[in-house]
Amino acid sequence: MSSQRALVIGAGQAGLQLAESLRAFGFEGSVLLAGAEKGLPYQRPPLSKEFLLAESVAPTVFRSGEFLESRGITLLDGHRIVSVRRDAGGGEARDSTGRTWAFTHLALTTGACSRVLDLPGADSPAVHYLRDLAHARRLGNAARSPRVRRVAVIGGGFIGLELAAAMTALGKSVTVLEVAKTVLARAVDQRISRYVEGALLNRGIDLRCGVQPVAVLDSPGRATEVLLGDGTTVSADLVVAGVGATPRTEIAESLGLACAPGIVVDGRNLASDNRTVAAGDCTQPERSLFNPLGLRLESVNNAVTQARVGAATLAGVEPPPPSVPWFWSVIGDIRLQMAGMPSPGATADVQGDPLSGSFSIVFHQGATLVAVQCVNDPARFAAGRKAIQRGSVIRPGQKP
Amino acid sequence: MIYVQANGHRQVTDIQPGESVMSNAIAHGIEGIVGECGGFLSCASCHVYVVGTLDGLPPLGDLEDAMLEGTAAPRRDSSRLGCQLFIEPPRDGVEIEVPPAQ
Ligand SMILES: Cc1cc2nc3c(=O)[nH]c(=O)nc-3n(C[C@H](O)[C@H](O)[C@H](O)COP(=O)(O)OP(=O)(O)OC[C@H]3O[C@@H](n4cnc5c(N)ncnc54)[C@H](O)[C@@H]3O)c2cc1C
Ligand code: FES
Repeated sequence: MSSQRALVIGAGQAGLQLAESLRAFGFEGSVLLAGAEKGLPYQRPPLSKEFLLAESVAPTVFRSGEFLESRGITLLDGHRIVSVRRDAGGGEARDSTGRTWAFTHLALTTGACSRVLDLPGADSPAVHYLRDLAHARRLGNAARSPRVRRVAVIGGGFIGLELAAAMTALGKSVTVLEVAKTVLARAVDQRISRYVEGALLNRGIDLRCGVQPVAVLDSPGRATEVLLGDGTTVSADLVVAGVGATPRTEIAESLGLACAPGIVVDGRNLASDNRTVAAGDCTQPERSLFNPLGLRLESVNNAVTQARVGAATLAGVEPPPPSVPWFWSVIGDIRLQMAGMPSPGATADVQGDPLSGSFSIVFHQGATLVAVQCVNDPARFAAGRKAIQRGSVIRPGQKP
Repeated sequence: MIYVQANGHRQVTDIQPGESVMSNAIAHGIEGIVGECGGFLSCASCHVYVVGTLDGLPPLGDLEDAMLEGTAAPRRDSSRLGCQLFIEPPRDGVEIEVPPAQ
């Protein structure tokens, strides 16, 4: 029996993948997967999509308990780690019940939490966030109540728009409040933003871009109001804020690891102490072949990819080759799929016909395809992702 | 269900009505079936080859057909996406070949 013990803190998408990949890469010691949430690790994407519509409150779990057991992965669910001490041989972590867990190898996969609205009145019980199952249950229960007719969504990002579409499917009248001039402003080409806006308006959503929420007003017996910078108000029985996520770095910071704002990791997913690995939404990656600007990518694919690399690093094996980052979102009946990262100087051309509801924006750097952003266009997505992967092999002597 | 790996390794599982091949494979830890997008028809990492006839299986959808053009392993006539394959009796003993890459 090996005397090694890996502790993975955070049992979400990245944590589970890291634990499994440790095994796949031949790590022989014990593997502890500690998660603050109760129950088996589950998928977050459905939470803003069909989960809200269904009466069922069962999450989509990845793996059964028997499977984890069969791989020798010990899930400590409901164990929030509150402090970690490092020493030459590894260290020791303490959970919220005061129990300690010694380890030789440490991985941080603590994810992110919803950014909280920094507005007067934002602590109103009418204001919801959506990051985990507990949030989704609370939001789903509130939204299914017939007393809730009007919903205000603050934030026109992916989660906000997915939620807005789901709320209209529940028969709610929905207003979306977005500070920027367009929805999905930083994430997609503006032609896609415009297409999505048109589709949301057709769905009956009251879409307001370029507005600044300044306060949430709650008075007893009356609907909640969101006060905007121009002095007007939007009445709602329920307010959901989807205004981004903040990486969870308390433990990393207590260990003195560099954070900016995510845990800074290198190409092997090593943190600044050169021995702790970190993966997923809690990280700040370095610039790399397929992520030339070193952007924080909060996605399933990023969590899975980084977790595999981090596991290889801890297990002492060669990491898997780099792969094209990709992302998907389902906003009502709009299926968005994106692969690669548009570089600042890239050209962006339309393929297909936006009027037909199925088109893509393709990004080229010189002659090389670097990214595709596809609207209801899975064939171009599939072909594009493959082509980006093929075209971007690192040639000898070439710096990514 | 019977899953066969490229090296000939076979695993047998039970599948419930309403459970997709992708979910079944993930729950039972079948190597080589990934299902990154959780069945949202967005990743094609649940690609499988059906062994034998395709009769009695759900028909190939347009989205599935398009996504199958982007699989990591070559597409064959027997290619399907596991997340779209809901197996009902009498096909519940169907044999699935796991592709060499996803
Ligand atoms: C509503 C929603 C919809 C999404 N939709 C999509 C989508 O369509 N496509 C896509 O690609 N991505 C989507 N994402 C993003 C994707 O789900 C995340 O990028 C991914 O879950 C990140 O995985 P992670 O493991 O890094 O973090 P998480 O999944 O957040 O897991 C982190 C876990 O660590 C636990 N934890 C934190 N601190 C501690 C501690 N001290 N001790 C113990 N446990 C701790 C947390 O409780 C949490 O369970 C969505 C996210 C949300 C919230
Ligand atoms: S699981 Fe992603 S396409 Fe089947």
